[in-house]
Amino acid sequence: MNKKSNIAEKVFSRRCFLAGAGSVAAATSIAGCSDDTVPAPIPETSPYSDIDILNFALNLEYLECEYYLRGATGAGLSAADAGSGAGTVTAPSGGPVTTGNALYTDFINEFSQSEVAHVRLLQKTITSLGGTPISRPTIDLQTAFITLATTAGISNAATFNPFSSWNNFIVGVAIFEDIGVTAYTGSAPLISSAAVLDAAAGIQAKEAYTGALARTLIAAGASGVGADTTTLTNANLLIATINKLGMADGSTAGGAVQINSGVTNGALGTATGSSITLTPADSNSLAYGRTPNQVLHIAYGKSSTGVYSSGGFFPNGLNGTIKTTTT
Amino acid sequence: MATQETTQLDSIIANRRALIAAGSAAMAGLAVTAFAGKVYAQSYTDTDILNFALNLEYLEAQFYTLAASGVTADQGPGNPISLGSGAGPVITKGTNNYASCKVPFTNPLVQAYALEIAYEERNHVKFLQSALSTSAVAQPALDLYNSFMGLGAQLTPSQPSFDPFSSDAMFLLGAYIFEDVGVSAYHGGAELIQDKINVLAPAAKIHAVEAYHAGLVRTTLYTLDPDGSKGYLGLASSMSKVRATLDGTSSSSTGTDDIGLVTPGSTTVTLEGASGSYPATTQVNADQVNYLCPARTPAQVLSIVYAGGAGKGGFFTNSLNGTIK
Repeated sequence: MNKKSNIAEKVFSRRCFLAGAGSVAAATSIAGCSDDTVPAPIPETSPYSDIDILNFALNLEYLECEYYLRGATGAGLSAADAGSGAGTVTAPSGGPVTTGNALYTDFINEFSQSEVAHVRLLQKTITSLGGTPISRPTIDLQTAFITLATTAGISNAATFNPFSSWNNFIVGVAIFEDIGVTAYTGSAPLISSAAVLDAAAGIQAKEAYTGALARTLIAAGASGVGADTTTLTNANLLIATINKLGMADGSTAGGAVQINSGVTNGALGTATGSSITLTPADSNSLAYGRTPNQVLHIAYGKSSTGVYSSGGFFPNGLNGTIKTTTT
Repeated sequence: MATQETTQLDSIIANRRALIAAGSAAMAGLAVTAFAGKVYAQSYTDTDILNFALNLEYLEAQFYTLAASGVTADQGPGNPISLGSGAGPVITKGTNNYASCKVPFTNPLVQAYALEIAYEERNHVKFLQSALSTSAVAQPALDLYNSFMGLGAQLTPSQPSFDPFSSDAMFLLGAYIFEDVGVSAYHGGAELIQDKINVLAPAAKIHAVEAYHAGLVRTTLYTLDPDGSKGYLGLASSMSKVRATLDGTSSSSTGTDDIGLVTPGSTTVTLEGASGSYPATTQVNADQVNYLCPARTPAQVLSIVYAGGAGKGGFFTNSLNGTIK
């Protein structure tokens, strides 16, 4: 099975579906394809085991968990959930986030619970596959944010604390979820087991639901007469910075789209015909996928090129097999 | 309509999900041995699956374009779509008075969402048509009038005149009907796709976009009705129950595959405290244990979009086009 299908031949005779996402080392001819490109062979096996991919994802879930839990309770994962020999977490003080809105507090609680559930689910799944789930790596939610904020040029970058306000916190949610969606989307074709793909797709969708929540609330907050557009501006600056970091592997788009909100003046005219663009998608309205390499560049926050094993949110690197950038 | 193959696939996918939820050590052996043969011994080609998705995208493109712009999708602003040779009619209120379908938006944000989603769904139609080339099916006959009233009559409280084109809130409820189902359809379809590189990769991307749409709709319903007093949350939750009943999972031992919008704070989560009790929402349509968004088999999706009809009905007057119907 997995022989080239008629669809594959038609696809490659027309356009490239995979620019910048989901590609594997063996199929480098996919990049830069044109109408005359010879279809690339479909790799029979993934370069990564399902256990490797799940442990890679588990690193990101630990990161999201430490972030969301502090937003909800002011404290992070329990020692039991973090795993034996877990790394430390450095975070600014300030959680739980003061939202001033019971609905928003409830949202934070809901998606914090979902991330705890995902950490536990991935640990169980890896164990049931005969693998060893990684423990939480050393995580930094303090300097990493300040560095990103400074590079992005957002207001008050030097003291940016994601837990000091709802506006700061929701921006962090937006960028983490974009990263999560693109990571799971890009990993989908690399998964071998249908059962693992089922679970991964279930998490991918959840990340997108939450990403939509963040984008919707940020855009809505910037709309209307007299609205404060600072949060929207900050979010877009950070998204652009993340994009640049994720441009490894020849990607030009980076993998996420800024939030356009022109509703205040009611003008139409963006590409979609709407004054708003909430969904991060390409010109075909397909979401982006990122390769593990692209995700690592973002996680380590140094540059889109170069070989790194640590940095940014992970001062000692991710745990597990997939932890070093390849270019 | 469920065939023997779809019933077998239903069983496989339902069992896989149950095993993952239970975290059973036996899942490893099953995933590698017992399931491996069954997953590949299926009767759907990737073409069948993409055409199945295309039918659903035609439906969404028409609904959103009519709601946002008062025209059918082949007249959609910016990116009109081709409906294919022999396309079926689109039944709407006012005896197909398409202009009357444009929602009289009072909330500019909701109007903007409608325009954006409509544009993106039309793009999905075009993308799938391009991927399928001469194998792409045409749009089947669609009903965007009797279908909504029929589903509305099953809600609590009953809405036998349900018209999603009548207001911002009703539009969002109409969108609610489609988006979660679309997400679960792509999720279920993903597991059936054989070509991982050329078909699964873009399908996963459309899956993500549908989830962004669903999340946008659910978030907005919550912000417009934060304590449930307007009834929007109740109607959405009732719609989730109707969907779960139609697809046969409302009394499933592994849990319903459709989570409504609970009144904020009426459910609590424990987070990391053994006795923690934090008020929460259900903005994500996910099971409340592992927080995985559900997958539906094609048969389950059909049971919903046919609104209980056998082999046709509901939104698809004369069934879908293509193999999976």
